[in-house]
Amino acid sequence: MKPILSLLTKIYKCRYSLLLLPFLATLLFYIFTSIFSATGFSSINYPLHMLLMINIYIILGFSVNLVTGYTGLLSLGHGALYGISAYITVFGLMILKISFFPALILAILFNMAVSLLVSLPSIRLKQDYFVLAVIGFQMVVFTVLYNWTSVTQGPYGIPGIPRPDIPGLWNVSEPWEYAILSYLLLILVFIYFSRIDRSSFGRVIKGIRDDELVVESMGRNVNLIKAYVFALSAGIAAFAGALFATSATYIDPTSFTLDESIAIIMIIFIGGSGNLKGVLWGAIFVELLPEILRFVQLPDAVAANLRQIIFGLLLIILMRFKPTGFAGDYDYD
Amino acid sequence: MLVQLLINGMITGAVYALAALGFSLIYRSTKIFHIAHAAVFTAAAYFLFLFYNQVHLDMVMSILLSLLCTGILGVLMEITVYHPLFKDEASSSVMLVSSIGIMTIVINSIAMIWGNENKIILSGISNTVKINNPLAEPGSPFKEIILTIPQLYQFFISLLAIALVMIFLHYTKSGKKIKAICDNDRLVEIFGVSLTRYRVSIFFIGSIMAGLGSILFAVDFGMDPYVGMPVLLIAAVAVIVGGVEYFWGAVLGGFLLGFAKALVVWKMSARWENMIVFLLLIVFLLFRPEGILSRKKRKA
Repeated sequence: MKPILSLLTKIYKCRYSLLLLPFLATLLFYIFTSIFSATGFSSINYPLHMLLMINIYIILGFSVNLVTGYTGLLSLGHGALYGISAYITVFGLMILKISFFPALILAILFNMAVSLLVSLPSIRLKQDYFVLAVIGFQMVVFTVLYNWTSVTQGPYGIPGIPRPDIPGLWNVSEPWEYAILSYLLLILVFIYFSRIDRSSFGRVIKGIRDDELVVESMGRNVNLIKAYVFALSAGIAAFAGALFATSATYIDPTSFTLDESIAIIMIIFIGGSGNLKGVLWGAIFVELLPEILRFVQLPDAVAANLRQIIFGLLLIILMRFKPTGFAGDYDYD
Repeated sequence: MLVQLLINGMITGAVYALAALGFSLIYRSTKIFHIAHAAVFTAAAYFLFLFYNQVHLDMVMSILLSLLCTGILGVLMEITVYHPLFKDEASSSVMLVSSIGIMTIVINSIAMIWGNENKIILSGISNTVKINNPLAEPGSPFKEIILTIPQLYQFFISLLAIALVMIFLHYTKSGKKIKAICDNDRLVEIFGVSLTRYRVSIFFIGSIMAGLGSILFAVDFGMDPYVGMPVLLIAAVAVIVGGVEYFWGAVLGGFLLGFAKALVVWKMSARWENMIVFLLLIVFLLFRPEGILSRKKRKA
């Protein structure tokens, strides 16, 4: 008994054990819904797909956490960054005919470049203007994706996106393979993030969030660091975009609206920002909420709106009574 | 052609100026970046739809009622969400996030009640007025400037409303108090002005202005639940482009954006009109973040 207990404590104390959360949450949800639904245990593919989506949202959550939770810049444009990277991945796969990982790298680089376009003019101004510029960016990206029909096929979307593969090694096609791929990318992001969390760079950006002036007086170029962080975050968002595009095998601009940006930022407002664990809880909540709404048999159209209404209510209530979120370090003050 | 477009731009610009002035009023006095203004804008159009097309009141009555409801909606936002935060001295980020929350709630409730599709208030083709174009070359197909009746209403009602609000702000005692709140609200409170009451009236007036703009557009083009957000973006950009420190800045910015959009429609396509708003914002943030109108500041 004792060795098992000490092993469990060790697992619990290790920060990488956090990565088990999405898996456990999906498993619990699957068992729970199977018990209470009339048809009993359904196909395992559905929870695997859910696990994939949770992992995508966790990656997005880390991305937005870096900008908003660590550096204190409110970003409502991550839906756009997510969308751009999805489209660029598709561009790489279908037009340049490169395989998944080169396409992912292309998307990361492109996303970083685009993010600089927004951040450089707006970052030295006060918070409100930055938020406005990013919302503007979000809406422009949606307009471009929607209206540039010769390239993006606009509202018709792009069907038949090739599945991710490593040539000669691995052709990802089954849901469980997607879940593994998403876990691999998530682990990459997580390792990178836990390193940032403990590094001196992490302390510098938290310093910018808490008191910009102090960091500046220590001889750091605050605006440059902010732009750099925004670019890093855009790069991380590209992982999610690439995963989403290749797993859905169909994308259209309506997945990347302002509502999506709000859902992404909800991850850190609910879970809590400025640390690692908040993102995981938040992403699980954001992804499971629509599933629960679907499970109680609401029609899809109502469920989509109801989800946003619940998000809005939660935003207001959390901001009023618990601005740190449920497991966060930072209260946006 | 150009004259026609410029006049069209001026007319939409007048409505933008109205919405921007409402946004500016709230932003300058309460320092809240009121993103939920977009929801207020959307809601006004749907109130009109409710009263005119569903309850079948007559037009003037339903417009007045929906303006009242819009004002009350704005006041509700202040009372339930912003004011408690203001009392706790919450930071502007917290206000902003709460504002996003309100926007999401209102817009999605509207979408849930009335559906996502486009709604039309007046069906049929509006009557037009033709004016001779003094600048047209002989033989050009654009000899006459064609305006629809709703456009005329949009222009003149917006101008009238802007003028009324400006007169109120600059020449009445309450208006001057609001201007003082913009400069330093705590100091005004010390002089015995009830901030709570003034904030409520600021939200009432600001929301009614957005609602009026929304109704003027809705009668002409109809609406869907997502009309508010682009207009909010335009209003906020207009405030920054025109100059945050003056109410006239918002009006100027609104007209400027109206013209800019008309030019984009002429040179490129109507699909890209949101682009120009964003481009103008970036250009101004880069080169003149204080806006066109700005006070000379002593170098600190």
